[in-house]
Amino acid sequence: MTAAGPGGWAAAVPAHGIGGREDLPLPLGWAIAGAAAAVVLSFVLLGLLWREPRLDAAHAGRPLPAGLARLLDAPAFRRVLAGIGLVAAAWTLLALLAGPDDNRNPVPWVVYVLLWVAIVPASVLLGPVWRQLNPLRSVHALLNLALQLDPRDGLRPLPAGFGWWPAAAGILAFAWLELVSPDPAALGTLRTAIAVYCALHLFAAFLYGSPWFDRGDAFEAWSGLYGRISPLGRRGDGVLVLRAPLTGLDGLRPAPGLVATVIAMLSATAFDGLSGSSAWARLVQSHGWSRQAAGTVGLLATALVLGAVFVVCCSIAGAVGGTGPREAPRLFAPSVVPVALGYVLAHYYSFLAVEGQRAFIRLSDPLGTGANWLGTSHLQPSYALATPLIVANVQVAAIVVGHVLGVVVAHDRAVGLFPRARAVIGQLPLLVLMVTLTCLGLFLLFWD
Amino acid sequence: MRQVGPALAVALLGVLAACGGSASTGTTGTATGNTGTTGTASAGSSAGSPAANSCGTGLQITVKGSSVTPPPGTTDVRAGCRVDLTITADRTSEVHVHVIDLEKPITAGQPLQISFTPTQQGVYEVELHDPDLLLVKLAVR
Repeated sequence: MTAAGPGGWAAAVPAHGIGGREDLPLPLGWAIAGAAAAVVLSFVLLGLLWREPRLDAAHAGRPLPAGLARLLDAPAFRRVLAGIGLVAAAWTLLALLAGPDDNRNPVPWVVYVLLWVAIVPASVLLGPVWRQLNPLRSVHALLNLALQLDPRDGLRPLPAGFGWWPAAAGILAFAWLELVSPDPAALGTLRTAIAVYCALHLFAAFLYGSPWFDRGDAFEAWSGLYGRISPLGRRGDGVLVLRAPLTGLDGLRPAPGLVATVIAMLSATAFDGLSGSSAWARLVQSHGWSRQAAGTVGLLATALVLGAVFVVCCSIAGAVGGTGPREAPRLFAPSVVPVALGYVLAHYYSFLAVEGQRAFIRLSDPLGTGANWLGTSHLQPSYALATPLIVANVQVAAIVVGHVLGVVVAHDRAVGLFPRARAVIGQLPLLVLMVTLTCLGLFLLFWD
Repeated sequence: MRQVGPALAVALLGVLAACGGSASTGTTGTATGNTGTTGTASAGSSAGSPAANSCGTGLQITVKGSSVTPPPGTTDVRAGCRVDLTITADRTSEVHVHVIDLEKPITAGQPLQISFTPTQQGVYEVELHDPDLLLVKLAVR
């Protein structure tokens, strides 16, 4: 079912590096219905939604029961989570260094399914989970402990100009590894990528202290930004609260590289759809271009085009609405996060549902010795959750719900920033943006 | 906080209504069992036999350099119906059918025939390796 047997593994690299089956194209009628729903709902929401900003990350929310809050904030609980991250990392390293170089090796599934895709729904439900699990953060903290240093202190302060830029670069680098590099699932590729990643981030963490990870690590940024959708969050006064989903996005302050990061999140998934189409293959093959060169240019071009569309629409909204065109893209960047979530869920749902099972089947025998450490190595993945009907429903629902939530976040920002008389007209360019992104998302699912 | 929940609920109900309405326009999916594919391959027989069963699909593909004729696209195939591929390439390499994980060596200038009956719904890519070239996508419904 998955990629080739031992001999052909390195050469046989299907979609996403692993997993041979792709979803059927979304039927045209479904794509059109989804797009129509998005357009209609946008205008319904514009008239229906609140006139004063309601998403208030600083004050909103009902405190968790005291016992639960104490448990979640207990240092011992944090150490357990960090320990789980370290054990999972050690397990993965074992397979990376000593496992077989064929499709029995679990590392591609750990990296491309669990770390990149499964972390998204986990973060949307629970908040920034990767921050708690991140094994590099723990290794850095333990090394500082051994040296009797404070992990928060680096050799020099983290430059303010960095902002989210390292995370944006990291997200695009990961997308390049998965979608463009010659053999994304080959053990040699993964060894190199993981070694470079670990060396780079430990070096940066010692240089700038542990705050580096917050916005420097692509996986913490990816998990943290999706985690702001979660109903579980922390109020301005530090109290853990349950609150309306999306409220956390209100607490996202404009910073350098934030626009680039949310656009990178969107582009990573959009380019997966684009580069997987036969039209892309026809274009590249008919010109005799190198797959890597065309893929590198295509990925960057996707990010630049989506970024340009976003900046132009936000700038017009800012000019019309009264904040001015310059600041508007940063101020409205949070509204892209739910749209990117819709893209990820639509694009990777069946991949997660099927290959997520295979991850745990492969992890049970990390060395390829016939072991069964988790008791799962003899199982076969079930396709019951990935029938074409379920997949098509999930895809349309994810894109349209992502659109609606993006409109809600943009609306809340707009009524907070724009004077009342201009709040409606100022939002029209944002609606154009959201409808464009939604139609693009549906088109990429429909396009074969 | 007070008003956010209800408004969101209204918005999401609208979405669900819209999606429910669209369901009737789409395909009716049927759940496939977890039996995987029963792919059988017969390579080397140069007598390009046409599709065996009436619903089958036959495809002839020629590769010259990086140019694939006909240009790679998506061909619809019904689950349970036989697919006959006849591939001729200008180099000695390997043909890989994803999903059923079929790999066959191909010799330059000699037609390779591959036959199989896909049962699992989804898109199957057929590739030539080194460097990877997409030959065709089979949309099995």
